[in-house]
Amino acid sequence: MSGLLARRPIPARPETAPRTYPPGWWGMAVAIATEAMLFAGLLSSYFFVRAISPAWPQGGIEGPHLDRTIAFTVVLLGSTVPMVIAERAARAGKMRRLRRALAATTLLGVAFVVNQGFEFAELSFRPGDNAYASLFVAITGLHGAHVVAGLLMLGVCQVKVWTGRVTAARHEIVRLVAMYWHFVDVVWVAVFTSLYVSVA
Amino acid sequence: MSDHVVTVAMSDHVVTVAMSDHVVTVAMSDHVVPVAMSEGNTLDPAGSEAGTIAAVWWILFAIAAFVAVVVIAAIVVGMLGRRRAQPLQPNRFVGTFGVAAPAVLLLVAAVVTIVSTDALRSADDEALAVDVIGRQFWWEVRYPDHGVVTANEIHVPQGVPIDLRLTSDDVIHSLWVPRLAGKVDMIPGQENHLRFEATETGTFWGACAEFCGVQHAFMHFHVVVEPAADFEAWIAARTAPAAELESPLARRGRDVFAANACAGCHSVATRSSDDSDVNDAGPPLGDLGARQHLAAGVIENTPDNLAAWIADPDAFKPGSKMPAVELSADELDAIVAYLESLP
Amino acid sequence: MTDADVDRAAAAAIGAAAARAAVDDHALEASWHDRPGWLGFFTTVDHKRLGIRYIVTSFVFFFAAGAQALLMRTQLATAEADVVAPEAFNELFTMHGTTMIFLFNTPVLAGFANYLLPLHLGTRDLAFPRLNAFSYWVFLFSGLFLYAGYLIDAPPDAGWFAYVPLADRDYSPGVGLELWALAVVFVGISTTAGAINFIVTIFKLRAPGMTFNRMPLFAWSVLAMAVMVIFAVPAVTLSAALLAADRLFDTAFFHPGRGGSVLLYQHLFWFWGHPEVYILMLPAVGMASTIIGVFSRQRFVGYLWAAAAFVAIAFISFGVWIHHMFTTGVPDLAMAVFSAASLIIVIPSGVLYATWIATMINGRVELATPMLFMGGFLVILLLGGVTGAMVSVMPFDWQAHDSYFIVAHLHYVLNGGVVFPIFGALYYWWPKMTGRLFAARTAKLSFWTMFVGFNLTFFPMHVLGLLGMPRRVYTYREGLGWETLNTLATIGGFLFGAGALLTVAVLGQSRRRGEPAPANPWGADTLEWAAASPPPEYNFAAIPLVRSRHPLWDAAPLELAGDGEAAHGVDRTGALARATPVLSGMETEPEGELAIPRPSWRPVAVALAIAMVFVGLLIEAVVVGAAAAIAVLVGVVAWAWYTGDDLE
Repeated sequence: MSGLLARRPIPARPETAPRTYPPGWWGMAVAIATEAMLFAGLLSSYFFVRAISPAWPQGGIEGPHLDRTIAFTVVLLGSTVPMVIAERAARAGKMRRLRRALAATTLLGVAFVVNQGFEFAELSFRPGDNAYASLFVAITGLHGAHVVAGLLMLGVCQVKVWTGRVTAARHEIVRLVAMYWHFVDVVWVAVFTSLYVSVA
Repeated sequence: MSDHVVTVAMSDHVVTVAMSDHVVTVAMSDHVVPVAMSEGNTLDPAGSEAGTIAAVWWILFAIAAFVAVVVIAAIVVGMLGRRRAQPLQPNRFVGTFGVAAPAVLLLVAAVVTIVSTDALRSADDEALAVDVIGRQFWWEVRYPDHGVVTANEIHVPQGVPIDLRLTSDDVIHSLWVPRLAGKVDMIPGQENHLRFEATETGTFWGACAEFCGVQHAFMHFHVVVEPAADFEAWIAARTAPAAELESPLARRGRDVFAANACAGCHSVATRSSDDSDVNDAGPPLGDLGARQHLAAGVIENTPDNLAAWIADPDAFKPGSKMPAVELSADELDAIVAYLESLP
Repeated sequence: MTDADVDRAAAAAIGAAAARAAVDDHALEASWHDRPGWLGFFTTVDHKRLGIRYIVTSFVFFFAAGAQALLMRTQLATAEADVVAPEAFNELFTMHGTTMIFLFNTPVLAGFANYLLPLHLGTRDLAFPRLNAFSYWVFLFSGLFLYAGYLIDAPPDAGWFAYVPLADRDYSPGVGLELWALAVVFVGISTTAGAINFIVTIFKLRAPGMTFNRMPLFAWSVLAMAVMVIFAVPAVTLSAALLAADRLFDTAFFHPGRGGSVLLYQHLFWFWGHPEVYILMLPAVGMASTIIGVFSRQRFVGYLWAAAAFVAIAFISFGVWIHHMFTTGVPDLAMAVFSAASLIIVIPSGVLYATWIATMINGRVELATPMLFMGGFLVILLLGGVTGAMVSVMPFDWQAHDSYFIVAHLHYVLNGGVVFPIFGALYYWWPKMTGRLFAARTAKLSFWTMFVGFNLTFFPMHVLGLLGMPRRVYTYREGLGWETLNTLATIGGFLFGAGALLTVAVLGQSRRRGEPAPANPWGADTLEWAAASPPPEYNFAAIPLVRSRHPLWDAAPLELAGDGEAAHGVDRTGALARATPVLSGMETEPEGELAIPRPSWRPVAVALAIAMVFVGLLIEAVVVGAAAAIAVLVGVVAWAWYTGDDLE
């Protein structure tokens, strides 16, 4: 087995191939569906416990601060834009634009994760204090983990782009990473609304 | 249900279900099939809840038996029969027997559900409240209106609606007296209600019905249903101030009890005003002498059994959380005499 | 588009592809061959080898769980017996239930789906063969992980459902329950990966002409099952993961004292738990439908009804989970809704029964061994279904819940509705999988033994429940009237076990000395019987053109496009023989081909790394867990590096 970064000849495919949903696309779509159910289950648990609690948050914990989180929400949701640009660039074969757009997406994602890290460190409670604390940490933590996974995927994708393994005809990986990244954004909308906005 | 006889007519065969005392007979024309006698027989109800549910059972059983016979006959015909000259038309056959027929029977079941649930849920403001708290592996029983506390035996007056308020202090348990009512779970942090009315007097066996640990199998209890006057007397015996102990052996036993580990887990109060939370790791023993069973409904209450139980609880209920206490034979006799003299 | 249009379009696409270049069988053989010996064993991605492996491994767990059951039955045969101590008994029923659900029923059906789906669909492998291998290894490692509990003297003992608070550290100290919870999360990865594979395969890899309307019923049942897995398994992953978190990290999800909810656990668990039983039932019922059609010598009557019933069951099963919680004090309105839904789900089951009975009545049944098992299945599942309808009626459930009546019900539906079809399927596809025939008379004896034994074991339990015997008790007092029935049940249990062992004996004998099997010993109708017994690695030298629901029975024979020798639908540029056509959509439009990855170490390596993550969590060793997690990431990147786009 030769090295991971070796260049290999890639057979051409007809440019007139119809735009379809190839197996990889379906695989990613179904995987996203199951991950979405994971978040749906956690958010349902959050609202279930909330419904039976006399006060929310529990234990006199202060609700989360919105300002900073709103700012980084804009950062994360904003990363949709370069991601869409990247997908279009890949389809059109514009490699330089693709590289820049992927880098921009990654940068915004990293900023979000770093801020999440700081927020975690500055929490006024520990996960075990009560159910609210446990749920808050679990939900935001699981989402953060998904963002990190997305950043890894973006990394792999960018290496493939930089080593010439992605062309206008073969750019399925960009499409798959974009799907996943949009999913992560949508989940954040749900998490942000449930854990931050609805408590303010 | 009048006279405890329910008649279900199915075409030419009349099924008569008669319930008297502890025997249920199902008579189909000339064949009488006796069902086994049992303390936990849900089909030998002694309370109105269990009675309604038993009637529900027989209706459902009739439907189920009918369906089973018909469908199994069809399966046998299908497996052994020859190819049909006129094949069945899929849409008609499946539409009739796969959709319409089941829907009709299910509608009957739904009606039965609604009617019986409604009957079981009729609110009773005059219900006698009894708090039962489940613990591993015994039952704490309190009468808030009378200020009485006991364990493992629930006394109720006959013919009076009862409201058992159920919760747990540790894991999930479930209170089930098959001959009186359906079961309700006892969940920590939550109060559930079990309402029933006992129509017959007697002692009825019950058990924990949610797996709760190593001795779940022997977390039993009994419900003693007695005429109202007897129930009042039972309550009075426990609200009266503690009587003086007459026998010197019993007095010695009281000292042994206090001097050993016993008092650390067991209180001897019968009035909730005297019962502190300090020693509630084990059941209160304030009326142990009057109870019919020991070890949460498992052993008959006799002096010999009590002595054997105290000497080695693990022999009866391994894992029951009651440690074996080192006592000499004399001390054991004294304690037994003391406990059997309570209240 | 009419059927004729579909056929024309498919044939044209195939003809065009065949015209580009011819392939010879040597290239096909060479590129599909696995590596020899142990290397091949660990790196294979062949769906047939993996399917058989799934089945064999599952059956090992089946007999382990069976032994656990017989130990319990021995203890319960008489009142106040001393054969098994209470702690050990509680471990036994915990392991029995957990093993049967997670390590036998679910994976064995995945194994059959693995083996059969590509053959039924007329293609060469599943859509993601390395993911398939990964699913198997994860299953194996998660099963070993759970059973390691016996080695470290900490098998879980809080029941297969592990309700909190009993399952919390306060009431179940030790690692047994962490083991259980982590194992449940672990095995869920396998189930989910398998489901993704099945869905994408059914959507994208069907043979030309095989529209959804012509797809075998087994494929429909697998599709419905896989979609259910996608939506249900996350719930149990959560319930188990949050339980593990409460135990390992002292979180408060389920602690009432710290604002958590005990019932939340049950809601999450049963949101998966109920669909799970239909996840088991549907593929079993799909196999049963196949076998019933074949041995009735009759085209299946009510194909569309059956497919619709599968889909309906998949949907409705998500709306009934509270019927497992009727005694917990949920509000009456909720109970009424779920009771109604639990009754409604009987209708699609009724539809299925009508189609099976109509198929048998319109046909003429040949009582071969697999068909006998289907007969047993039909009778037993029926009884399980009617008792299920009975306990949907809340008041009756208030007596029956957590009693032996439910034990009877669940075994009638799961053993009758799932295990009997599995045994029948094992006999039915045995000649195809192994290339050997088996001794029919002894096989039929194994059926009768199992059938009689099963009913003797579980029918008395209905009565025991009505007589007040609760579940999960290690013994019972004399004088409650339960002894005779329990003794009968124990005898039945041993009889059933003997029948199952007889099956092993029959099949073992066949493996060693059975007659070689022809391609189609049963005269069946689906595509796998067109391939040799056992099929070559590439399944079909020529991808078939499918014209009907019963390809091998129909007047228009299986067509080979081109010159009869060429494999078609495959782009021969660069001699890409190790591939399978991608045809999708409602009319099986050709979309190109899917390169099948070569055998690879990556799936087993990643599965092993994941196992080490779970071990790290179990022994609370951060270094082990972190290092293993990094290994997982490296492995996944290495794996995903070479996708179908690239040549290996």
